[in-house]
Amino acid sequence: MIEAFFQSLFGVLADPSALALMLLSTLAGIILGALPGISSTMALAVLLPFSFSMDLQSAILFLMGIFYGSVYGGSISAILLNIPGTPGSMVTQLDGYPMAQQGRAGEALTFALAASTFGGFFGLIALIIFAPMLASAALAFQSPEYAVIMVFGLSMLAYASPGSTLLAILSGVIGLIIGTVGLDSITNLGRLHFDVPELLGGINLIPVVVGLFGFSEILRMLEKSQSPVQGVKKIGSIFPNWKALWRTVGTASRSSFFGVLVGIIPAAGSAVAVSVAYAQEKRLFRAKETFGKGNPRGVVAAEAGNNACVGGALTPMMTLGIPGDTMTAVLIGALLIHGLRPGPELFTKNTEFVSIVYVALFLTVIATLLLGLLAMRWFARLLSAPPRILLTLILLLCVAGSYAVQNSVFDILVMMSAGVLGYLMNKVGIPTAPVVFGLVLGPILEENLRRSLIVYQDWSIFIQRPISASLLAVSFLVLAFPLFAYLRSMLSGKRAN
Amino acid sequence: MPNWFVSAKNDLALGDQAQGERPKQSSVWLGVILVGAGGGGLMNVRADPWLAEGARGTDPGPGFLPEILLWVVVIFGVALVFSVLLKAWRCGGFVPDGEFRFQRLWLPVMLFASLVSYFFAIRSFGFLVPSIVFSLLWVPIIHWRSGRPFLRRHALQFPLESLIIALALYGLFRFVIGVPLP
Repeated sequence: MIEAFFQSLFGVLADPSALALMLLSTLAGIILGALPGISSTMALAVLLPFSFSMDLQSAILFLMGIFYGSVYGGSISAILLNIPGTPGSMVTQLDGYPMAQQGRAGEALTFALAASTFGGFFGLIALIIFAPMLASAALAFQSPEYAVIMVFGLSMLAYASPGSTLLAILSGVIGLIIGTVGLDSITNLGRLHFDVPELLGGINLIPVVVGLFGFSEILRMLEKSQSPVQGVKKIGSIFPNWKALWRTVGTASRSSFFGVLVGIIPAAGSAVAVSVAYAQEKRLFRAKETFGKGNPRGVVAAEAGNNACVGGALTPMMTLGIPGDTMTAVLIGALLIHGLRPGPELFTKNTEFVSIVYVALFLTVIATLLLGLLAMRWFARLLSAPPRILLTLILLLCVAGSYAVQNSVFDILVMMSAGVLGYLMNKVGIPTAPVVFGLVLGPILEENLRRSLIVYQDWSIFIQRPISASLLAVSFLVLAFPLFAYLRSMLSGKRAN
Repeated sequence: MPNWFVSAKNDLALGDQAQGERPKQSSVWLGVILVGAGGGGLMNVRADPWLAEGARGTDPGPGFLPEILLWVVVIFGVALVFSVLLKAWRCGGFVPDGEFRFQRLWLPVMLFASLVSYFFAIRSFGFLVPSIVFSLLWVPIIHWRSGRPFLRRHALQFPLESLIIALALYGLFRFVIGVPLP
């Protein structure tokens, strides 16, 4: 694998067009991530169609650039405007903005950049170490294990999604139902097509994601009149005290560890990762009261956790085909379009792809560091750009991008419907991310469930095999935990009364 | 009776569902929509004789998973309606829903309506011209919504920006990516 990694690395380094593409996509990712209201998932979803005509290597470099760039970019508006550019940077603002108000905006931005780089590399190393191990273990899996892994993934997403577990389950079920629309893969019989011929081919993931995370967000933004954001105008020196930077290495390491760990959990996502990393750091640090008042450790904890989460989220995606977060769900959609199904077989049959992912993440982390250092002040100026051009462009991109997936006008309709669905779900408090997970995991779950029943001819096969039985038990506990916690709190309340 | 729509994990769900607070009417409508959509889906699955034929031997068939999932949606919807109505009865009614006010909804509805028109215009006139018209409409609206003032130069600047956005996107998709936009 190391040989393949260096081969791919030198291949990319020797190709100026590949390098330029990677730099441009990272730049686009940073800019989009920095703009308030544009999440990393939205950036990735609306720019995804540009990768359709690229070869696999270029597509991975392009998508990884946007993915990682936007994850870092969120910290810029969090520090300068006190508005997180992406959900993953919501904790960065707690200490980043107070630092900016104290005239240390440049310093905060550099702390964020250094921590992002550290977290990015930490996540990459974790990915390189754990992904092959997990993949080789997963190679022994058969249909029952795969079916139960999908159930496990869905139960984890129900638990890890913000808000009520039941509402997350409902959202996941909606995604699963959307995933069953169209021809069944085993019998070739159409389901839930309501005599609409276009539905027989199924509902494509990409227009749904573009609608849920692109169009619905713009609908939400238009609800209220926004006042132009007034952030910190003066950046100050971007060079922090090097000793202070060095002292945060421990913080960065611990937070990166939590970032990777949470990133691996399906659906937990960067928002959970940064919250855990920040809370842990605050718990360990002696002067707790300085957190939230401009402590650079707060910025470092949040950004290291946020960026390490990328490597963590890629691990289950590449090895099991389970997305670690909504962005990796979009990446799965992109890989399917390029004819690749993520799973353990990638590590034996398509090692070239695996090494390209490693190289793309490696180069993107470096590109983000370089672009961040060189263009930090310029990024800050971009935040005051009028939103009319960008939002109109995104609206048109939602339409053109959805069409481009299959050159189908029907997909524009799918995107619009998904957008309205996401908007309404958001209004009643139902999380939208599980819909995407359900849509990704549903067809794999159904195929493996039925294949298991056809081959083994008994439902008890899922509890007869040790791995599937253990995963089923864990899934049950994960789903039942909120109920147990509720009953416990109710009982303790009665006792207190 | 416990309210299962608020998990012990936190009480963010449905916003209004915390213990002791009056629920929102929209929660009832959500339940009704779920029952309607789930029921409609179930009728569609059950009305298809081929799906029942598809179940052979130990294969539960292509209708198995959709049917289970649709039942989950229906049961969830019924439970939600009853749970919210019971809570409203106990707490003395509903609270007004701030999320579904005309002041908040009119512009998103207008965007959706214009996007539907845009969709039909694409089918009739192709991508470019409807995109220019769509941008001409939405560049000034988004500018206004972002709380920025209108200046005299905008009379020329906005149409120019709309034209550039639509042309750039069309050119990028058609000639750089090679997507045969209609």
